[in-house]
Amino acid sequence: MRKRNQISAVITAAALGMGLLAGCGSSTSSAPAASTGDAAAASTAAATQAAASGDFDGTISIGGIAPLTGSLANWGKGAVNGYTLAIDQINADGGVTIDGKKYQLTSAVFADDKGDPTEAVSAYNNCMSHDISAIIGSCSSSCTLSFVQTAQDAGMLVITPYSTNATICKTGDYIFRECFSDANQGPMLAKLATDEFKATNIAVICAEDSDYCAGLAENMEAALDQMSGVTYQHYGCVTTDTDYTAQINSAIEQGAEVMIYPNNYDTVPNFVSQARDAGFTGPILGGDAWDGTDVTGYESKFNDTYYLAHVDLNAEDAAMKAYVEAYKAAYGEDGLNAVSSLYYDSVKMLAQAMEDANSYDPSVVKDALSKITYESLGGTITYDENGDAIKPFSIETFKDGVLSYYGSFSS
Amino acid sequence: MAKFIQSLINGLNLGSVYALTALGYTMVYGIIRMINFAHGDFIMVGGFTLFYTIPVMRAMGLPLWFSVFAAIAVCVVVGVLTEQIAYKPVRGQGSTTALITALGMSLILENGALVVFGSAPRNVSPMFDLPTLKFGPVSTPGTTILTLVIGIVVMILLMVFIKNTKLGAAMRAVPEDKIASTLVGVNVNHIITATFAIGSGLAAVASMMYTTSYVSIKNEMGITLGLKAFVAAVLGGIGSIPGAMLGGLMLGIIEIMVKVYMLPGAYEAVTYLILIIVLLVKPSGLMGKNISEKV
Amino acid sequence: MPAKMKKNYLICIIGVVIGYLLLSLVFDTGILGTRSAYFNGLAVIGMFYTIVVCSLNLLTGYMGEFSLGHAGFMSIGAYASAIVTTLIGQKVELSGIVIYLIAILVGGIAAGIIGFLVGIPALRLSGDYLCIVTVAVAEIVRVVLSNVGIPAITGAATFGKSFSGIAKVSDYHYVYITMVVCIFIMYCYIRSRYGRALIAIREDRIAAESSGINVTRTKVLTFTISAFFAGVGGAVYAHYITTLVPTYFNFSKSSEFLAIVILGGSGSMTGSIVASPILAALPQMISYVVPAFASYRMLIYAVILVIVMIFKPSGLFGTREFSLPKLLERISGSRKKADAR
Repeated sequence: MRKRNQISAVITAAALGMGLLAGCGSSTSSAPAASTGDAAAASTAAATQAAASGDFDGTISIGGIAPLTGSLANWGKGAVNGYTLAIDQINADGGVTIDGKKYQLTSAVFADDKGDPTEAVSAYNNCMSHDISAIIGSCSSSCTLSFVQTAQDAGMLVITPYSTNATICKTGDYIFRECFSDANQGPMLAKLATDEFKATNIAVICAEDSDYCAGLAENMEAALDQMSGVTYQHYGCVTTDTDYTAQINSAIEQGAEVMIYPNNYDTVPNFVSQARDAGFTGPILGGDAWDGTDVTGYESKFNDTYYLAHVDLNAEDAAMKAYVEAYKAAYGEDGLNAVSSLYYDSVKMLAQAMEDANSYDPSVVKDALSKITYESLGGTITYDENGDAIKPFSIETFKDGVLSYYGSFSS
Repeated sequence: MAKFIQSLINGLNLGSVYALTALGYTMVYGIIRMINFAHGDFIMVGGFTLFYTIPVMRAMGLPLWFSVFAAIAVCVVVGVLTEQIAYKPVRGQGSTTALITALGMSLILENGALVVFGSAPRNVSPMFDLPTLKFGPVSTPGTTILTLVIGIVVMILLMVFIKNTKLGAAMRAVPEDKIASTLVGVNVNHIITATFAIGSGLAAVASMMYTTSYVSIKNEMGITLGLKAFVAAVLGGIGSIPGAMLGGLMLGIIEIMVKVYMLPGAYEAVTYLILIIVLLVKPSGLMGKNISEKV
Repeated sequence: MPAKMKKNYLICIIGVVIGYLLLSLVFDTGILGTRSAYFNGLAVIGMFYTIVVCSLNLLTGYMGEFSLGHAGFMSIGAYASAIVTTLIGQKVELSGIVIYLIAILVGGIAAGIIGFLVGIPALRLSGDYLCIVTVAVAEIVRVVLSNVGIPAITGAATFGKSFSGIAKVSDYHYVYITMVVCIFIMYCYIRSRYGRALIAIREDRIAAESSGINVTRTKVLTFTISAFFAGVGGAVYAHYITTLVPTYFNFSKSSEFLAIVILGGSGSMTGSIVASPILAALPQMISYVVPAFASYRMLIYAVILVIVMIFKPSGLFGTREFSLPKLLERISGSRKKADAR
């Protein structure tokens, strides 16, 4: 009965979303983004209903959190699709096998945190109001940080697919991530600048009011401090800034050979175009939050920009090709970014851990997760003693506006 | 020295965006004593119009900057509609009601844009293809200089218009004395509508200048921009047209200089501190007139 | 008359206790099952909104001045309380209620002090100008918090500017009592000599001044009290959410608070008490069922706000107050009439 209620609620939601979509014409809006979320959820519901008539012995529910609306909504779009795709694939392959019994994986809820920590707490509470075994989420580090302590205290397993802030996994043994940590990403970014581009004079432009940006910059600068013969200058900004000409000018005068801009994707076009306009021709480097950057109209300015990525979606790897194909078949090109693959991998890794543990009880699965060796789309993941993921890095670059693979690092 | 001149150019560029926006605030405040919070959002409307019309212009083979005219048209329509639908009915109900209505209109535009355009930032394609100009060690993109010139020309045109035309004279007369101007045959309602039309048109020009320097736009861009422009208007003396221009340019230069030489992460604190000091020390601003309270 | 007042107080206390028991019934007995955590959270959000909105109503409704910077005072309360409780928490082990009490007191006092310091110079201004000064103050607070490494003060290991790991002590029992006490104090203030003076100033400042009311003192006192309760609201928020992000306390948040005050009716505490939980929690409950609703929430508020301004500028309740004793009186009164017939 409860499940039927949920399904009907989801279908009503989808119908309403469609109605609203029709209401606001053919525009591409966040409402459709949210309603694609609903539609995806509805399709899972439909798929699981179809599969339920098959031969499963029970169900395991999980919850997801991502910014479906707000300024980080580009990530949420891919996130819900990757998450749903993984669940569908696992169920199509016979579900999760525990003690010889086949369990069907279902998504109880996919909550929207809007990229806002307060909403993330509500989204977490929303997830916890369902009977779930794990939470997959969220994207931005500030959001994830807002609920991990509560989750740890409640004994709820959390796998964050995309929050790289170094402190997250130190919260406790129930908290995992599917991505690298800034404790590794920072030194790697420093290494990219100094080894690959032979820079001895670096400018760092970092948003001070974001956990991700400031944390990444701090880790990177700690690594730069250790290198001899390398000088760098730190320039602050805030996440809502649009004008970077002051910082860029100072950086050019300083004689920077490389600029590092470890901030979120929504501000990257502004920064890169202003840097190029000011006459800076050297490499511009960024962190993994560059994923999803829109380069339309400024393709040539994005040449010689590089960022560290979790996966390379254009890799000639069989698993990656299969993923991209499956994603395109189900959802088209929309939202096909690294975040989608991280949500996909998080669900798959969770399923593998449950099978390893022979249980879906979070207190047992967490021990299996800490020992897991999982073949993700971005390379092999293992966990260190803090529960922090160790994972290889891909370097992506833009070639006349096309995202291309440049190389890889392993930590 | 090169850095200083470079920063000065950047400051003037940012400042002229503020100035054009501040003009809209100042003109409206001068006539109906209302802070039009929605004014910053008119720039967002202009930005999205540019985003959608530039590809159309390209497809039609027209020069891309023709889309500025589309932006002006859309902004004027939105501005006049805002005035007619929301502000006109509450006129005369006191300044508090007007303030809240303006805040409400601002929220409507921001969140309406969220529903229609989504929250993802969009890149506005470049409208001009100009080479980078070099003056000795200083190098500036040609577009910055061009938009700067356009902004200043528009401001001069506005001054000429206000000074030398009949409508301009009426627009100067209404803030001075509403009743007297009615007596000499000025239709106050028409003047208010015209003020909103001109203010919104200037916002469209500001959005063109904004998007050439700061390429990405989103639904919330009007909030900060509007607040800054309002600070500029207060700095110059709210109600004074030359004051708004001066205030805007000054604020732009101050912000960039603070970023270059002092606190790049906390420059906004300086901006708002200036606002507080001006309001406390000389509430009429640099060029405004003191209006004493009538008992 | 005193006997009647005693009776009225008793009725109000009974009303408050019934409200408390209702909450306990909903959350403590577990009739909501696993959903109770979610609705519990919503209840706390609704209650801290009520505290902040009522404090803003004190300015807007009774002093007739606008503040578009209340999120700033709230953030001062939130950060100050969180710093103190975290520092204390590192030294001694205290029970939840003690930490909570320390938090709301520290939060309130810190915000009150800043409110006092801002109020002295700023309250020379009024209307639009004062409104803009409050915006500026809140923005300065936000910028400072974004740039100063607050978490580092407590020795926390987070890198960015988020302040996480705050003790989660804002239990709805405490918050409910806090809310009732805050509203009671504000209500008493309005009914006091100062409150009457305040309303006189709102109606005619010059007349009030000539009849011997110290305008500046009354205004500054009200501003400080308003900031104090905004700080209390902030402390409750901090100890519920456990992670503070400076960007949360922005201009949009302040305008949301003001919108709620106006919609409920500025000058009516009842309006704020009714409107805050509805406008803070209801949208979340709707988006619990219909996720797409999240994008429409603020648009709907704004449209309602403008419509209310055009057709009923006094808001939902105007300046009317709801009174439980009067309601009971009316009910029993009509019954008496019926009996007499």
